[in-house]
Amino acid sequence: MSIMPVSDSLLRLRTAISFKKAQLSGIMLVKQRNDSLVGAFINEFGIKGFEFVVTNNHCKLTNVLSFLNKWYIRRTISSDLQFMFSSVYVAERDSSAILIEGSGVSYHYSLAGGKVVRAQRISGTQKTGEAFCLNDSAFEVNNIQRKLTYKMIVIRP
Amino acid sequence: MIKYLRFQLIFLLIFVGANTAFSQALIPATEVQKKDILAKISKEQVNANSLECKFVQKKKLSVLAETVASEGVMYFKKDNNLRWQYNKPYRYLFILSGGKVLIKNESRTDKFDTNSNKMFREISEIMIGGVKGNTLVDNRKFDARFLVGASTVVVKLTPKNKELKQLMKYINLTFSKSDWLVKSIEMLEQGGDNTVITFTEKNVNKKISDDIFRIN
Repeated sequence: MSIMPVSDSLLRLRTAISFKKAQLSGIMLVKQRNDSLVGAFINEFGIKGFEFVVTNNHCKLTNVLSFLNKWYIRRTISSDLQFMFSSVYVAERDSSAILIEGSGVSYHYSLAGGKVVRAQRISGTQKTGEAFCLNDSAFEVNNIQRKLTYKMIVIRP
Repeated sequence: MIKYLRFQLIFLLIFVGANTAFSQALIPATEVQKKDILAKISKEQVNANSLECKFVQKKKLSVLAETVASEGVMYFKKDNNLRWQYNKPYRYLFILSGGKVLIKNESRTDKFDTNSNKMFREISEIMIGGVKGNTLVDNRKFDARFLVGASTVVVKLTPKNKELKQLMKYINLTFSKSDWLVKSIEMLEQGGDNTVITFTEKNVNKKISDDIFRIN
């Protein structure tokens, strides 16, 4: 289970990434494919910013658009996508769960009604990220360290 | 910086194009045909003071084995007014007018001055040039190949500019021989995915209010 409602059907998320005074908007497309989760971020005009694959809760970016293709941007985006789309096993009666990511990073999930409603990313002893399920179709993810906010709304066909 | 970069992306949009064009046999145009094609497109541009049409945009994503579609309306009015509006499945608005640009989504509105730097100016020139068709003859930015079919003409534009080359292999503009307006645009990315925008219900010289291009 992850904070995002991913399945083998295509999930389309209207996405706005805000940082300082600027914003990058577009569509995040994600779906489960075999044992991996695959996705892409495109702008409204169809220009692809990057593709990503999450396998065993590890995210890898591919086909990154040249202006985004800087190591620090790739690292930030892939760690945030990994946080958003990593999945944790939960038993039916669980109200919380923890996923240890290694390198001192762990994800802490709060559950309600069988869904993840909140998640926190802890690096060492510091909270570096948090994610909220605002309702059935709206999500917000904050990278506290880098001061980035991802606002995502499910696009219904 | 991000604004500029986003802009760089945005302009590409408009010039994205058409696989369908290759469903019919296309042969390279002779020099005489090329001159004739350019003359016909230019004539249409001179006569068309405004253009309103619907569009459907289809984006192929091989990593997802999916094609995603969106649709909207486009308005163009001489000299340099463009409104590009997505209606489904999301709302998104792009207006270029009087040297300024407005970009609006559900949560935010941004405005830019195209004269504030060289990149803005160049992008706005290319955008308007694409709609008008005079991008075809701008051989500073693109190598153009003309291909002739039974009912269409395809102009294959290969970018010369380094930044554009990183983004796309080529752009195909498909013109209908019946009205010499752009029928569809295809952009092929370096990775192999493409975006096709097909224009329908074209209205030439229909009265369009200046209000829809208002930025301030």
